[in-house]
Amino acid sequence: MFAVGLLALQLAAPLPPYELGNGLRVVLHPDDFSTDVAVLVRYDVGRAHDPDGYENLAHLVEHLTFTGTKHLPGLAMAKTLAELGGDFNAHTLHDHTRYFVTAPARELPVMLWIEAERMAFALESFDAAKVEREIAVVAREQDERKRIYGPWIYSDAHALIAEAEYPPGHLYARGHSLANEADGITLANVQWFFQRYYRPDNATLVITGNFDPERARTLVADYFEAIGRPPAPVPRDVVDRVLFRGRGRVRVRSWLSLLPLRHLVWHLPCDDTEDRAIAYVAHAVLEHRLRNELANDTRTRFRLDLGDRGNHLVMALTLGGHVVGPSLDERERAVQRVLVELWEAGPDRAELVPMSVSAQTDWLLEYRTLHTRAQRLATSRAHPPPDLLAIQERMKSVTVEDVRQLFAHWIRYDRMLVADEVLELSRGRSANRIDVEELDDFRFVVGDKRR
Amino acid sequence: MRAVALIAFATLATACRASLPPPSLPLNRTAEAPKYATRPTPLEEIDGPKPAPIVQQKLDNGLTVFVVEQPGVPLTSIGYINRAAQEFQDAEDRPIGLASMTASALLEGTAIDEDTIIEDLRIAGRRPYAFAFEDGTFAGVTVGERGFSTAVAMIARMVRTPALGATHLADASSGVVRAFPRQKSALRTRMRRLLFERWYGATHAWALEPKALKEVASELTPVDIRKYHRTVFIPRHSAVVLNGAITATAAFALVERHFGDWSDDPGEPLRDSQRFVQREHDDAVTFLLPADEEDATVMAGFTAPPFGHGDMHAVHILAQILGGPLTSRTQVRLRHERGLTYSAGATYTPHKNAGYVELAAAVDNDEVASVATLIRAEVRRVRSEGVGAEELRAAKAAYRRTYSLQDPDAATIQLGLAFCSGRDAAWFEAVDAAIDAITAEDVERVAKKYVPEHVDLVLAGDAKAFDGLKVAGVVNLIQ
Repeated sequence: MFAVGLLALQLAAPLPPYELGNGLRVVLHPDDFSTDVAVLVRYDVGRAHDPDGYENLAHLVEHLTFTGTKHLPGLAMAKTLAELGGDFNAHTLHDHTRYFVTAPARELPVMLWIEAERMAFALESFDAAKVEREIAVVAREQDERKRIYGPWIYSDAHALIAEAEYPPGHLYARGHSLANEADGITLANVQWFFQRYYRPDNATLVITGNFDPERARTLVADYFEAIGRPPAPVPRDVVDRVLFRGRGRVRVRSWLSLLPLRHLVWHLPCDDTEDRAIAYVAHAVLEHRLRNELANDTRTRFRLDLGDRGNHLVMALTLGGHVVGPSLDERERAVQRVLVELWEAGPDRAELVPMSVSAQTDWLLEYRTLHTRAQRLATSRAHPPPDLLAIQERMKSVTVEDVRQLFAHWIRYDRMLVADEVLELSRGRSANRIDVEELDDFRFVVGDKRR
Repeated sequence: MRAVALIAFATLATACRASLPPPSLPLNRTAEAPKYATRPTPLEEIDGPKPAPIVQQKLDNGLTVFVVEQPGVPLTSIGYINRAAQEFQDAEDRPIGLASMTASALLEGTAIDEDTIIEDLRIAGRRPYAFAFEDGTFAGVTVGERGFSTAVAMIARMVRTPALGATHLADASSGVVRAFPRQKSALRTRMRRLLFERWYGATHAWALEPKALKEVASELTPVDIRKYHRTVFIPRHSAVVLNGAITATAAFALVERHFGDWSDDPGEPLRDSQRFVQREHDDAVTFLLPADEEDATVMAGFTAPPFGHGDMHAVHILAQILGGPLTSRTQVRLRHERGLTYSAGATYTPHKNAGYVELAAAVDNDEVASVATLIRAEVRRVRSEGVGAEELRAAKAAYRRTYSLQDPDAATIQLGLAFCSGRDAAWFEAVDAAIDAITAEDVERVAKKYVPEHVDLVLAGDAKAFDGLKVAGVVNLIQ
């Protein structure tokens, strides 16, 4: 082996999270690698919390917090962020909304000042004209997202499938729609929503990058400790882990489904270091096997995602390709062959090591980028932040049997949801709907974690 | 038994809307304090890592090597850059798709020991990438500490001795098929090509429509690809970038070991493509009527100088002022003041011999005419009105990030772009100071120099939008 001079430094673990007197959770993860620092504030409120008939309310509030605050009126906040010389953005996701900024490390006080301002003084600057204008902007954004991402990344079909993955009433069965139903939302609606959810005891502040932890604690206390919280307790969600029994099938009718696609979805009850490390390696193994299995069929295309929903992971395989070529059933049978091999024997020892390295490299790529690291650390308040280093370490010792067991128990044909996309162009967007065909033995199981 | 349930999608929601409670008063629960009213001062300079120096060397065979030491997370990016690419494709003997097919074929296996890249991947643990673009061809991979030596060897074999047999080519054509823009993302590419056609003519490489995949695959033979590879993939046209947690000494030794004996075949001189020519613009409007779009897009553009030109940084900052950060002029006019769009953006793309600025916004079909008017007005305004200190600072900050070396993958691409345009490490390291030195007067000067008084537009939308524009003098309709 050729000798290589490595400059790798010791990766740092996050400090134990702590809470301010007003309930704000704070996660600090310092390191010496970067000249930058990232600040991320996560509010445990997202699209799933839109009240019925008020779709996009959470997204609208996110937009409004950039339109001026008491001390940073108009576009002053956006201008200040732009001048910092870093990245900033916000995302309204299914179960949370996050605001993040990355900038040179010496700007940490300004970054914290801005996020404190958003939490404490944005509400009083909302007005009816801003609400009306941002409703239009949010509608444009929804449309653009569909145009940019297309069917392989995110679409109405994905949203509808996500709804079908959970029983009615579950938090994750709500809020996936990209519908534009913000029309008619009033200033009072927005103010009520902000008061209900944008409060320190419903938020997590994460700081990652190059900073002195003691200095950061002092700055956090300076800017956030005095932020008041409403007397009523924060509304907390009970989010049950939902697993599958049997093989469910749904058919999605969408105006964007230009090519036949089939989605295979598995829920994995992985919520700790041990389980997550195995799942990440299993994901790399499955992707590698599928690539080899499907390599001879140049007309087939696939995408394998592993999503984290706090107390469980979601493995989602999208299969498709040229219309002329194997049918979706034939393509699925190729996947089935791979899965059977992995249930029965697990990965080869010779393939496990590189796939573990591949999973670790993916993990390190996320770790290296400050805002993706901050996103990983900003978990729901129902869950502790993950120990990123422990997961990385555990991936190094994942065994063939660990991976085989994960497949044998959870990535199975009798614990799977199958979703086919069908084009319905004639009625435009109004064609979007989902037919749920529950096969005889398919049911949701709540809370099971046995492997 | 099969139970079937139909879930209507987002139609009845508004009808079912129940009243929400009013907000409680007072709205605000945080006491006013002086600390909230004043922007805090920055911290003293942080004792962090200094910007990594770029070390550049040339091997005896002419291969250029850049190394950037980045102590930290144990990852290293290895990139190979070749100066030849799509600009080679505008001649009869260089059909369109050749560069992309060759790049894709690099991933399909090597000629040594019947080895394949997939097998290398089993050791390195990562999949490599390869693609061709207007100014060059990139191939590379990012690996952790365990795969680094193997990865350098893998990239060397990929670019030096690809298999390029009929089977590999068939597989590569599949890769090209997959890489072609699909769905909505193809629209802006098509709109851009219409601007290029107007400026440079229909036969210019940038203006050519990509052929259907089938044609690409059927027209190119292994002989074509091998000839192209043999004459173009030679050390003097090539650079290797290593960026990450590795010492320069070790990096150069590895490159010497795997690339040092690469023959310095004279190959073929790189053909000079379109030189920068500042075109006359004449308020032309081209309307594209796509069948599958429910929304419209407005795009304005003008010719701009090539990569490395003395005005390049100032034009970049000009583009940022026009449509960069959230507070840029177009964002303010279209989004913040009128709610007409979510993202209106301007980008300056300087290629090796020519560049362009484009400004685009996705809008509702009903708003095409008004947005087109507003965008034209903003482009004209930047010619005539001064640049403010605040917008200059924000634009510089946004542009400066482009050259950050902290993200090794992005840095590899940036160094590669500089190499393709004949720039070296010294040029790259001077960029920060050059950006700092740009003044409002510089930006105003390049605005007057490059921004045309008459702005060409390409619009895409439905028939209704087109009807609304007829009176505005649409000169060219493309179905």
